[in-house]
Formats: sequence, C-alpha cells, structure tokens
Amino acid sequence: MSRTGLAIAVCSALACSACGSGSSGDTETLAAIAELENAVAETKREVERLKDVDELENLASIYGHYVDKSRHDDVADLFAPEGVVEILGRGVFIGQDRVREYMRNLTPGNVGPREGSLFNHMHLQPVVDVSPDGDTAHVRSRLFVMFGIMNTNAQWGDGIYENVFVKQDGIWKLDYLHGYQTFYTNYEDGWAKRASAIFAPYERLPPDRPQSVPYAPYPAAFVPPFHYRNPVSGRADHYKDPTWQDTQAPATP
Amino acid sequence: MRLTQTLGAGSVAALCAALLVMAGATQEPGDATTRLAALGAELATLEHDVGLLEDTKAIKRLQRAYGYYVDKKLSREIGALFADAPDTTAELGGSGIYVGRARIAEFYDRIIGGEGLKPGQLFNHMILQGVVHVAPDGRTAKGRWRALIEIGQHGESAVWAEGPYENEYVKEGGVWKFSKVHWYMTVSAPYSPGWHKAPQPMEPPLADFPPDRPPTVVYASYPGVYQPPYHYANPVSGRCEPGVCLVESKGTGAAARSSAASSAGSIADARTRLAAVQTRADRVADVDAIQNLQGSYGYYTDKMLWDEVVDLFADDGTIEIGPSGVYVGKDSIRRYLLSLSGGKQGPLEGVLNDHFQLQPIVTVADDGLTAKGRWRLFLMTGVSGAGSGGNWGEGVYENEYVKENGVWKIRSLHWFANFIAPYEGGWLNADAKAIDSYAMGRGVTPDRPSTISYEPYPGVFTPPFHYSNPVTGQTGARQ
Repeated sequence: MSRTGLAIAVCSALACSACGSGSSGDTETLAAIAELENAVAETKREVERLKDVDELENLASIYGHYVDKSRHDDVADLFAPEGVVEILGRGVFIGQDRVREYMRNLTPGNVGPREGSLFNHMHLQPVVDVSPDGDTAHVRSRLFVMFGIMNTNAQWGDGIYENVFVKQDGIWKLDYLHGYQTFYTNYEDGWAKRASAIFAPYERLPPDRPQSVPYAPYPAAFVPPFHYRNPVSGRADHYKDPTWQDTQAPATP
Repeated sequence: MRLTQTLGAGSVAALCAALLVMAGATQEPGDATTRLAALGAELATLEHDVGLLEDTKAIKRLQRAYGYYVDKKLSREIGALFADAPDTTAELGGSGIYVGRARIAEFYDRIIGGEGLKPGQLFNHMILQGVVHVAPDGRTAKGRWRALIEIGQHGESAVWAEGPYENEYVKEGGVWKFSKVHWYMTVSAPYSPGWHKAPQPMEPPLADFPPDRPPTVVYASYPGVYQPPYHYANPVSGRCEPGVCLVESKGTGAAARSSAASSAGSIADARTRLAAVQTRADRVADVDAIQNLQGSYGYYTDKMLWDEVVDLFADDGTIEIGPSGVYVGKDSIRRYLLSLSGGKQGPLEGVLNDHFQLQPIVTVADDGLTAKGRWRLFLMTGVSGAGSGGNWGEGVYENEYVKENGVWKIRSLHWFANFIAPYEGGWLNADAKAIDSYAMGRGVTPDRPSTISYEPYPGVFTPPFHYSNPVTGQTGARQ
C-alpha cells in the first residue's frame, strides 16, 4: 500500500470512530454509494476506451479516403501540430507544416483529384491498441494501392502502417505516420516478376532526417516492427529489427 | 505505527482532519439521495454511450453482411436489409434511384442477373474501410465504405472495379436497416489490359426496369474524376468544403434516449443497472479483442512467424485451410505451418505471403466465453523470379474463438477457398488445383479429414453463415 493509501486507511478508521454516533444504516448506505461511484467511474473509463477504438478506426479509414482524392490539406489537418510523417524511404518530415509540404509535393501544383489519375489508398485490417491512460494509441494497418495514369501506367502497391495517435483536447490526431513499403509493381509485371526498389527521398523536398528504420522491401525479407506483444502469449517484440530472419531453423529439407 | 513513525503523530492528525473536512463536503447526512440521483444520471449516460457502441457494431455487421450476400448474388437476403419505408432508396453507379423496399429488391435481383451465383461466375464484393457515425439519438447513422470488386465469368472475362459507398441507416424496432444505399463507381476495367488502358464507363439505367428517379449526380468514372461527397467534416480541423463535404449543420442534439431512465432509484436498482451496462460494454470489448486477434493472425502469417501464429490458438485449437484436412492441437498446427515454408519460419527472401484479413462479422455468445467470426481472406503470394508475377487468392473464414482466463484465443480457424489464380490473367482461368498447392501440407498428415467437401470457383459454394440475416433474423441463407 502506498504511503498516501495507508494514511487514508488510518483516517477512515478514525473517521468511523468519530462518526460512530450516527446510524449504522447511513454509514452502510454511504459506503455502498461510494462503492458504486467507484465502479461507475471504472466502467466509464472502459467505455471511453471503447469509444476511442471506434474513433481511431474511423480516423484510420478517413485518412485513406482523403488520400484517394489527393486532399492534401485534409490529410495534413489530421496530424497534431508536432505530427511526423515517415513513408516508404522518403525520409522523416517533422511538424504539421512539413507534413503539409510533403503531402502537397505528391501532386505538385495541384490539390484534389486529377483527370486520368487514380490514387486509391485502401487502408485495411486495423489492429488498435489504446494506452491505459487513453492519451495515445497505436494502430497497425495495411495499405493497398491502385495507382494509375491513363494511357501511361498503372501500379499495385502494398505496405504496412504502424501509426501513433495522440488525443489532444478530446480529439484523436495522427502523431506519427509510419508507412513501410512492401512492394510497388507495374501492372504489366506483378510483384514476383519485378518490384520497385525502396523509394528514395524526393530531390525537390529533402526530409528533415533520413528514415528511422533501414530496410529493403520485397523481394528482401523484412518484418515491420509490431507495436504490440503477441495478444495471447504476451511475448514481446523480438522482431524489433525488421531485417530479422530465422537463423536457428533447420535448413530447407 | 510506521506511518506515525515516518510522519509524526501530529502530521497524521492534521492530515486526517483535512481529509475529514474534505469528506464532509460530500458526505453530509441526507446527501445520499443527491448522490444516488447523480449516480442515476451517470448510469443513464453510460447506458446511452454503450448503446451507441452497440449501434456502431450492428451497422458494421449489416454493411458487411450485405457484401457477403452480394458475393453470392443472394438478392432476397439483400432486399430484406432495407427499411420498409417510402423514403428508402438505392442507387448503384449510374443506375438512377430506386425507391421503396419492393422496388429496391427487384432492382438488385435484375442488376445481378437473378437470385444465386451461377457456375462459372465470380462476384466478389469486398466491403472495406468503414467510417461510421451514429446520430447522438441513436436512431439514424451514416457510413462511408470502400467496395473492392472482382467479377468474373470463367474463361471469358475478369474485371476489377472499385468505389465508395455513402450509405444511411435507420433503426426500426431496435434493428438497424439501410435507409439509403449509394455506391459511387470510381473505376471499372477488364483485368487485362487494366484500368490505365481500357477503363469501362458506368452502365446506363436499366432500360427494361427504369429507376424511379434520375441519378443524384451525373459524373464520369475513371479516367474521369469525381469526389463522392463525404458525410463527415474533417474530424480534426472540422473543415467542411462546400459541395465535397455534406454535413447537416443542425446542432448535435441532446441525447434524449435515456433521460427517462435517469431517476434516482434505489441502490439495488443502481447495482443492477451497472452490472447490465458493464456486461454490454464487455461484449463490445470482446469484439474489439477478437478483431485484434484475427488481425494479428494475418500480420504474423504475412511473415510466416509461425511461433506467433501458433500462440494465438487454444491448446485444443484446430486449423483447416481449404482442402488441407484438420490439424488438431498446437504441435500439429505448428508442423503443418512449418511444412508450408520448407521447415523455416520468419520472412524468406523472395517470398511474399500477404494474408489480408477483411470484412469481420464477429458474434460473441451471451456468456462472453465463446465467439464466432466470418472474415474474408484477400491473398497475394509469390516467389520472386519464379516466372509468374505472383498469385491472387480469395476466400472466407468461419472461425471460432474461446476466452480462457480473460484472453481470447482461436479455437478453430477454417478457411473456405474460393480461388487462387496466377497474376497473369487473374481469375479468368483460375484452376482449383492451385488451391491444393497453396493449402496442402508437405510431408505431414492431418489429424482429421476435411470437414466438408465443396467445389471452389468456377464452381459455386457459399460457406455457411454462422449468423442469421441481421434484419430478418432468419437463417438458411445458403445454396
């Protein structure tokens, strides 16, 4: 028991003896009410976490729906003022203004969808974990891209997000968007025939710092680190290093 | 006493006096009634909030069930999901608007070419990426979703299509139904040569069954460009661009639903209400936990982290992948999975094994100890440099879960294969033999034979639904 807790226990005992002259029924009633108040407060916290999960699922989906249509300002608005974006080898961009620059740079001189251009960003399979204090959350999700420029080229893209969200003044915002490239491939090829090397930083928009996790996308082997422990065994993150490979397994039979 | 030794008796007395004064402020005699009334109000808020959480889950179930019915062209089940009200509407692409449940049901039946998928047909309608907002009074809701569509006639055609739904829902007699379905087509194109070379325009309205009203808006799908309006303002900035964001500007409205129930009541009443609302919240939390569990299964399987996958199963858990037979218990499951990757685990150079886990419908038993879940697997595999561009795959899971010591685990994982097809041509010429080479263990023997035999695409098979139609409550939607 903490020191404060012990002090309260001692005082409660004193309080009881002090108010022992009152009817015991009142005391019992008040104790029962206090117990209920605590239990209600506990349930309220649980329900807040459940509401958080729904809001985060919405937010993750909304991000994808906006990117579809190159709504760069709406995308940047989803970030906290200190928000960070780190995507697919492009490097790290720090702060909402830089995030906005990064997003606008995707279609220079243009905000919004363009004739002949397809930019579908499917945002799928969220695994949502809200911190016990309800102030931050991690979401792993999957990116699946249908890209196209009419009569020019089309691509499939595939990746993993490990994003961090922060709740500020009751509103969930993106705090760190971290997208890992699994592959991009030309429609005519397919990923197993030819997949793009990891994207390089934009020359016209150098990042604030290089990407935090060096890795090579498919066909190299890598595991984007998980924010969560195994949900059943509780086993921790022994895949922190995305270049991890099984070195102890028997050779291929 | 250690406390007095540490702080000194005087300090304790002072601290106690302070605490008693504080306590007195909220524990005056006769205050019980006030506090009980406050509790009643808190409980009403909780009941209302948990109701909205349940509503959100129910709407997602309705929308995803719709997608699984469209997959199999179960038009009667689809029609039954709509509210029987004069202002109920449906509009798909350039179809125009159909009004009222009977007209909508016939529209679906006609546009999908009659009840029931026929041999050789593929009609996958993946319902993804939902954004659901329930009105504060819990009576109506809106949802944006993405449909990713795979259509095929075996040996003749294969088509990709995609676009968002902006739908509306209404709660009638405690049951959520569609009040408006509107699918906006973004793109549709034959698999070969793809959307950048041969995009298809939207179909015009049906000539022999014209709509009741013209389309809400006339626009061109890809390569044309159109932004289907969002039903929500930017959730962080609150920005709402006119014409692109359609948010009714009326106030949020007070939550009226539970006000009648906020009277003080007795302590016993409050305990009963608290227990009930806690149980309801726990069932919502169970669904979230199972979604994380199955989502994790997919992410671990991507990278062939078999130790992690095996840990997700209960000790007596089972796995059955298409025609693999049933592997029982963790050791057996591990042997089977390792056999699929040459005895190694972890990501392998050149091997892609992406297992998207999509479109969950999770049903938790009333006691919160078991659950069932339908999910869609969207599969991309490949071996770099082996000649092919890779493989696509698709099918449905019907899984069972068990909660042991407060932790949800997979009790049985059962994937019903629909197709595995080479990147070249996609599902145009999908051959069921490809499923064998994906699913059959190498050099291992299942503990039990397959639980069911069926003909995957181009045959027709509807994996049995573990749930009844979310509106009619009737079971038996299968062929």
